[in-house]
Amino acid sequence: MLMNQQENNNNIIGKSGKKLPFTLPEGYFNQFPERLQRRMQKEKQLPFTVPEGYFNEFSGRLKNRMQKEESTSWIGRTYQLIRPQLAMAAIIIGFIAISYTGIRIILNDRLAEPTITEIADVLDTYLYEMDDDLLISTIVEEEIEVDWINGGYKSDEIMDYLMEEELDYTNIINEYNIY
Amino acid sequence: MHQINVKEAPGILTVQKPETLTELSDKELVRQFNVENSRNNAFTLIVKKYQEKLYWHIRKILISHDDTDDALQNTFIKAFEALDSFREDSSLYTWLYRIATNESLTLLKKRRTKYYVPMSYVQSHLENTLMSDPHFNGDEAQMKLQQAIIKLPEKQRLVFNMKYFDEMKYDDMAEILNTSVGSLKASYHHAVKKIEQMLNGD
Repeated sequence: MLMNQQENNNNIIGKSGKKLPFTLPEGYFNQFPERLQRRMQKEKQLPFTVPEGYFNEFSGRLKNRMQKEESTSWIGRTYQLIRPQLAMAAIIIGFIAISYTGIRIILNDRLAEPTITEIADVLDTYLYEMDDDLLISTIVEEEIEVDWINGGYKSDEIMDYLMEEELDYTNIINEYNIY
Repeated sequence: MHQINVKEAPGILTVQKPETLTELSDKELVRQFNVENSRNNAFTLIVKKYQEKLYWHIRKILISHDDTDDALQNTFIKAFEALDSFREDSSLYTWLYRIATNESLTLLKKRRTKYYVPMSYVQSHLENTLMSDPHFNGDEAQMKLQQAIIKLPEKQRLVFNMKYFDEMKYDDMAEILNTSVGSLKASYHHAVKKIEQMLNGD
């Protein structure tokens, strides 16, 4: 290497005809590649450190974590497997519940409304004469709920009054078009 | 004490010479992983072989040691679950590298979506992590470089780190990031320009 250096210097002198007024530290070119390599490595070195023993212990910690996850994972796996079925079951149950509730509400309303035959039977049983205008206005004003079939009357005064009167129930049904 | 690898062939039982960690090829490691009896041992060898490389790749993305530790564990767990379906159309390292990259980016995304914050918040968070990191031992110049890298858009950060620090070939990067070589070269070029501007601007 030194011989090559001298050779090169001779060549430089030879080509330019002038001698460069410089010298070099001893062994400069011998050490240059190594110095360059160190500098390049330093520039590309990441300025981060890791806790001592981190890489030695990593595989052990990883193993522990995987074993822990394995022991609880069967619950998770089962849940994941049946989740679509659970969702479908919940939808079906919800639909049934809503439908049932709706049907019950509708049927209860219908059941609360007495049939024509039932009205006729009650009127026939309890009434023989009636002032229908007074009846209607009284019921509307008092907002009475009268269970004609079961006799669960909410207003005794109304019933007493009605029983004192004679009533043609067919006229009422035809006139007020109850059902 | 050496472990003896036993290979079974139809009608013949042969004994392989023990191999050191570095001598065991990826192909052999994957093969041993797919054998029930040697699965755990093969996986441990894979972890020990690639843990450092993957760690530093993740650390460059996430900065924080604790976040890196999480992402590294997640990477190997996912690798364990998927290794039996590894088709060897890429090298094992490339495959692991891809998982590690995705895990790191997923962690960053989680931080964004969890708090509904823009990317700039994540960058601020990374900068704060960098400046307060107890595991940072660089000088001022290295701090400035890392700060400049953090300010890059996500893809340019990735490409710059992989090219500059890991000296990865563009073809390998294209395989890992599933993007074209041309796009990677452009990203790297822009990244370098931006870093130069940021460093010179100081």
